[in-house]
Amino acid sequence: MAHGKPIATTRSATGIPTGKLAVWWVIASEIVIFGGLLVSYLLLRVRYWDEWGEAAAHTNVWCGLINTIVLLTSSLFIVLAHHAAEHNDTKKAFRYIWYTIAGGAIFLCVKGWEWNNEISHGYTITANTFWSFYYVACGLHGLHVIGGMVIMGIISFQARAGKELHRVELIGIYWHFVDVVWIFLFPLMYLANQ
Amino acid sequence: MSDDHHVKRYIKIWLWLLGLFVLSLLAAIPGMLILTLVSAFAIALVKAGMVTAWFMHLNTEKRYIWYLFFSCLALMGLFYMAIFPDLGRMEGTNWVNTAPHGVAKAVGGHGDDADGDDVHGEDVHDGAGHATSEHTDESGADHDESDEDAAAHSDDAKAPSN
Amino acid sequence: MSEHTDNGHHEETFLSKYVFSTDHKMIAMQYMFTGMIMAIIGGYFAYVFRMQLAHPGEIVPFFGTVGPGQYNALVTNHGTIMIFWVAMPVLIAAFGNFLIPLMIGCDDMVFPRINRLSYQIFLISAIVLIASFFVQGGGFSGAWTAYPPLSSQAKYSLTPLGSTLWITAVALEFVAFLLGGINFITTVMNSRAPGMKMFDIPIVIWMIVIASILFMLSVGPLIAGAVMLLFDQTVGTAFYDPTRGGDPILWQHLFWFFGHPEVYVVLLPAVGAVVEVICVFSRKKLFAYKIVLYTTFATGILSFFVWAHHQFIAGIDPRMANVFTVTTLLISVPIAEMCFVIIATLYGGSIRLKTPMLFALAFMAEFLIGGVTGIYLGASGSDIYLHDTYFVLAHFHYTFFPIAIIGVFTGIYYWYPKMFGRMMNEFLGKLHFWGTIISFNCIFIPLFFLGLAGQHRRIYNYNNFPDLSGEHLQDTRVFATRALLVLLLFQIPFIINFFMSMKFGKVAGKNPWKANTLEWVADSPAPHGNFEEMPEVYRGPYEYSVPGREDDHWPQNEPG
Repeated sequence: MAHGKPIATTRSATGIPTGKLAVWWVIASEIVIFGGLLVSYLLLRVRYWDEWGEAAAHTNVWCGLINTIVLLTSSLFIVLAHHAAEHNDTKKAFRYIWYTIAGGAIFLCVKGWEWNNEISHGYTITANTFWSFYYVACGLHGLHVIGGMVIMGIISFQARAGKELHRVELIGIYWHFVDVVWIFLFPLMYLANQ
Repeated sequence: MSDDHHVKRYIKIWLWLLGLFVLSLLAAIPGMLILTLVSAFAIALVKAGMVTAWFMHLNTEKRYIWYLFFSCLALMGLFYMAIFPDLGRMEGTNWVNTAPHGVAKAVGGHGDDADGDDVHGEDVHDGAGHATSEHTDESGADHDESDEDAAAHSDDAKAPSN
Repeated sequence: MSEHTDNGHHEETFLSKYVFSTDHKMIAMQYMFTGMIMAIIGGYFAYVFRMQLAHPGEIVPFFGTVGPGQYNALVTNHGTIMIFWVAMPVLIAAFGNFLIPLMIGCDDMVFPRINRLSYQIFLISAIVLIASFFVQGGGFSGAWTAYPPLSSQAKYSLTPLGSTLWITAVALEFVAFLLGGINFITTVMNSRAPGMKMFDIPIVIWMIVIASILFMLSVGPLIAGAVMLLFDQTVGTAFYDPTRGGDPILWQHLFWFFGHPEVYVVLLPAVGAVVEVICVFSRKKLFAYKIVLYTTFATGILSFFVWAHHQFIAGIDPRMANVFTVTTLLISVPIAEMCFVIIATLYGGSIRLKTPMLFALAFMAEFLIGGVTGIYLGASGSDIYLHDTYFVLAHFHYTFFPIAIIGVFTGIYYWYPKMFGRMMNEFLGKLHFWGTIISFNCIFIPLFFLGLAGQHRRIYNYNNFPDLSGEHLQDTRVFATRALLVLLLFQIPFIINFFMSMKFGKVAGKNPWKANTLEWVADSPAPHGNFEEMPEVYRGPYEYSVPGREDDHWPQNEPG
């Protein structure tokens, strides 16, 4: 549109900037989406304790381990990017955002290799309801990773041009949330395997 | 300089996160169920708290954002508890639901992927059959029913389609 | 005041003004007209299956003969459309978009482009749903609740493509309203006019925001559930298949965990519109603003703990059924409270029975019947007999019809001058009102009796169940169907009124109803940017007939 932002966007009756407030609500809605899925998983996990424990033993803990470290590290990078953006160091912010995107890419590569390996061993999405949950939960999380990477790519160029620097923080918050989801997915899917 | 101070703190948090993560892995090595579960989920909670507090800066945000997130989580907890009696177990004092148990055991473990695909292919065929001709539909329905019965009554054996 | 809007400085083509507009009022109109078109489709479906019930096997005019599969698809999609594509878009999205920026005194939503995106996703979802009627096998026919295995396996539902498109459309619609809801909540939290404190916000805005929060918190599990159902349908997973390690009850819980708060998601905005109208047309301050607000919070919280009353005979744990009976009966307390507040507001006011007021009063009366009959269904004992009979059907139509039809008409008749700058015709409005209300009662009161007589709600015709048909009940069915025809015919005066008044209605002026809230400060229709000068707020929204004041209203933005 030809004109700038509406007055509404610039107001802040709560004291929280509008964009950030919206991100908090987005995360609240995401908590219940992942929450609903994981509650369903947990219910059936408890019911089929032995069967699913046996199935979970076939997950690749090493892949999960690498991915956890990668995601935690990418979280560090995006928070450093935010820090740089706050100090108007656009070059550094741009670089750190791309380190984060690289982290996401490594995560997806490891995940892809892992899935490939599992599927070739017959553990497909229809093998058993544990694997169905495994693929749906990790897939949903993976979609969030991809979405976050795309948005970060766009924001990185805005940040380099010195525009909309507050968005670095917003995508950072989202990325940390994706990280937190993984922090819970890892023990749920990989560690609890007996 | 407060600048460096912030960066240092972020790196310190990150190191803590990695350390806790390794700890949760180590706790799983002895193979004690309780130890694995408690440590894994307790540490996951602590890590999640650290990420939200320091990386998402929730510790300097308005309090009610915390309350919002906690109420979301509490809602999920209540949801879990309210439907646990229906879904979390299969044995009651007056009833035992054996059918799914048997099949789950049979299917679980050796990841037989042909299973799902077979059933799915059949579905589509039956659906299309109904739309075009009455006769195919009826025979299809009969076939399904017998399939279903077999699955429900044979606790140990799998459904014939497998 | 330092804030000025930049209205009208740019050229607008047809596309940028009507199709790709980011203006909240245009998006509201888009939602409203889409909702109206969907309402016509949903009404047409109701007409077809009611005709089939009254005259089984005969040719239905404008349709043909109704097959059993078609009948199920019609019933399913009537429910789906009326709730997800009529009540939601009109009550939350159209009224929310139109009213929130105007009533809190700002120029637009905080995220205008996300707002537009939300409508576009909604439009796509509507198109996907309509497309599902025309695919091979026909539209989805597993009831709007989509219980598996009927919904998850094509060999039971017989609609391999229809059910997949249906669940896709519903999921897209959820995404649209999540985006819209985040926009609404953020706007109201952050962009209120200077001076507007928490308790100066008009009730209807509170209601829309609380409804958005309820929607957001309840829909999450169902989005996950919808993904699982989609995978069951297309990939062949077994999330809901008990023979392969899943559980169909899981879907019922996920669905109703959303499905019951959803009732309150659409109820609250309707109550909000009714409250506004009641105050304006009885020229009296709202009785106990804060109590209304607190009861709304209570309703919102309680609405999360009643969902399993839909599943009393689904084989859920009977101890939980006890708990849910108690919570269900509890939730009638805050709703009753709201009724009393409205009656107390009316008491001693100088009541003006204009069309919006008539609809608002009818809302109370009809919703009361819906609420009272709900008590019988909320008690798990009597629900065992009444479950899945026409009694249930009549009960929820006595709640949803007041919400989605009467509540919407209340809002449209009241805010029409602000939307289009002209008044609607009072005579046609009253004709429409009486025709609608009387025929509505004539449809659904007979259905209560059918339900008490044990008539099951999903029977297509009684050829195969002659014992159940009950010869003496056929007249009742015919009567209900005739009443439906009358109801549909009486919507014609409304449509005439709606479109003719845009051109020929009396010019409304800024504040035709002499109301206090901020939307009446703007021009009618409000221009892009809404206000010439951004208003400031000095008092609550319901200062009518204040003693010692000459004028019987006291606009929120008037200093002093």
